Amino acid sequence: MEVDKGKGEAEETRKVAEADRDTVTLKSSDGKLFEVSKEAAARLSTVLAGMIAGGSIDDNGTDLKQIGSEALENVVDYCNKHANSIPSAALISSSISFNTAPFKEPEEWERKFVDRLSHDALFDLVEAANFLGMERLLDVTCHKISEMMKGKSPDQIREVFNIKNDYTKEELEEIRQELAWAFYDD
Amino acid sequence: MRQRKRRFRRTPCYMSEEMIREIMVWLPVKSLIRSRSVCKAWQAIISDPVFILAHLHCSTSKWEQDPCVLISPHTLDFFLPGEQWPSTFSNHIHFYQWRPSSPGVAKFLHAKKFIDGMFTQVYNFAYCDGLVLTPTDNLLYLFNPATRDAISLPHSNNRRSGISVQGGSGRQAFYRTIDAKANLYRMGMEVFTVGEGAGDDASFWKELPGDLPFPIKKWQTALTVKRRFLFWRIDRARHQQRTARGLLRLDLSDESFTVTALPDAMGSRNDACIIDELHGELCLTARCSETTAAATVWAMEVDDDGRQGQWERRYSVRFPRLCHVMAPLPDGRLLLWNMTDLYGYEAPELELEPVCEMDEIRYEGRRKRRWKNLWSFNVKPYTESLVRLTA
Repeated sequence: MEVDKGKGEAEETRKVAEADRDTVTLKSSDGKLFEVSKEAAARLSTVLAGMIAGGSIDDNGTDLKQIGSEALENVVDYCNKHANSIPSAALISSSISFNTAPFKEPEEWERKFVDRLSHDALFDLVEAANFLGMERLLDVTCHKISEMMKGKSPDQIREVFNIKNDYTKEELEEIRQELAWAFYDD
Repeated sequence: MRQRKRRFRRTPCYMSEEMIREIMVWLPVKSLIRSRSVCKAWQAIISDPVFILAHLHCSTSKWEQDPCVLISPHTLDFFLPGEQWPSTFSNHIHFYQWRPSSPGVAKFLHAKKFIDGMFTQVYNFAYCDGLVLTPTDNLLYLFNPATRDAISLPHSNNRRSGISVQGGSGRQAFYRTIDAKANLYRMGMEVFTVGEGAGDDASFWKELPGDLPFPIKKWQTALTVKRRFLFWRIDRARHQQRTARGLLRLDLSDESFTVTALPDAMGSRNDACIIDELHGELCLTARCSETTAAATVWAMEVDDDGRQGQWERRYSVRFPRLCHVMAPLPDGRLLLWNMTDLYGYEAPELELEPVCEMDEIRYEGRRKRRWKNLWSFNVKPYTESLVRLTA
């Protein structure tokens, strides 16, 4: 369980270091370790904030069995980038004038962050964000997926989401006729 | 590689319904309508009042970041030479969406052709949550231009109407005044409710008990603030003592009336003003008694319980006519509307700068073209919504 330090002195310095530690270590389902700023983790994830406050963080790597290493790497990357980003002026002013605006469009760096992800990585990241209670990351990833859906036909959407069509041919034809206008592109 | 294999075994869908909702809430109405044909579960999400309300919140947030307005041009079938007031109003109602980010074009949303002679004029629209109430000199129509739904309200030939959409239930309530017979000074009010929860009141206009405390001006539709309050301007000329001045407010939660006084700086005789909603605040544009060259825009906070603050002076606009306040623009200016023009206005006291001459707009639809035989416009700040119309 413990990293082998041997001497009491080393144990002492380890304890001091632990108290001062400003990062937490997270462990993916496939056993890889990632470090993330404690402050950012607590601010961006309700689940991690709860674990930090409750003392259930393991220094040797808190097990996150539901999250694969690729998704966890992206989560950590997002937290670090978020910690370094200065909120834009627009965001600051809008948070003052509209106290209850739960939906904010992604900022430039957030767009770039999700744009580089593959389709699979994006879907895994959505689930990781949901599991960790990371509301902002969930918004950013869901927004990206919605952008991907915009020009797609129902057939393409079914393929992307692995959805079975449960309409009969007649039902589908009826919907298409009733809503024909919505199937023309702008 | 191993992970990929695992994913294909996931059934029946990659994502939980909760996640699907989180994604769909960001989509524009047209995409959502198209995705009704994906599967029955998606169709159910799009019709769910809770989702409709969440989508509306998202739509409102998007509007705050990239505002747009709804433009409805009222046209004539043709100009008859020599007519002072035209008799050839088109029975075609059109809706277009315009964004300050592309000022030269308007996007086609919806058009409906009514039978010739159904009405001969369209009056000022009332608006709430993506729904547009269109009074004509015959019937009242309710549109959701984003979903291309339209209904007409029965026995509705009265133009002093308001509209309110309440909460997520998709219930809509309409209010109209009725004149007391043989007494010019008395005015009553009726309500018509459609949608879920309307119950037994669904098919007729129901009279509210008692008269209005003050009569309200003709030709006006109500301004809806925070979905819960309707405001009308009081008509001093129809007040027996001729002293009434201000705005009449109807609180929809208990159907009670209160009066909101006009700003003192307007002077005691002047009651010419325009009212709008901006960020949930009541906004009033009028001339001050001391500075006649400029119009002043005041704003007043209205909290969720209906408590109102004081009038605060926000802008002074040097312009010969009073303009409607439409939206704050992302560049910090304010978007104003007067007649056929939209203006950008930079605080604190600069000249108006035209951003769009609506009669010059090209609209996109099936073909790019200009509006012909224009008579007037209705313009409203616009947030698209999935709110359903049920009559």
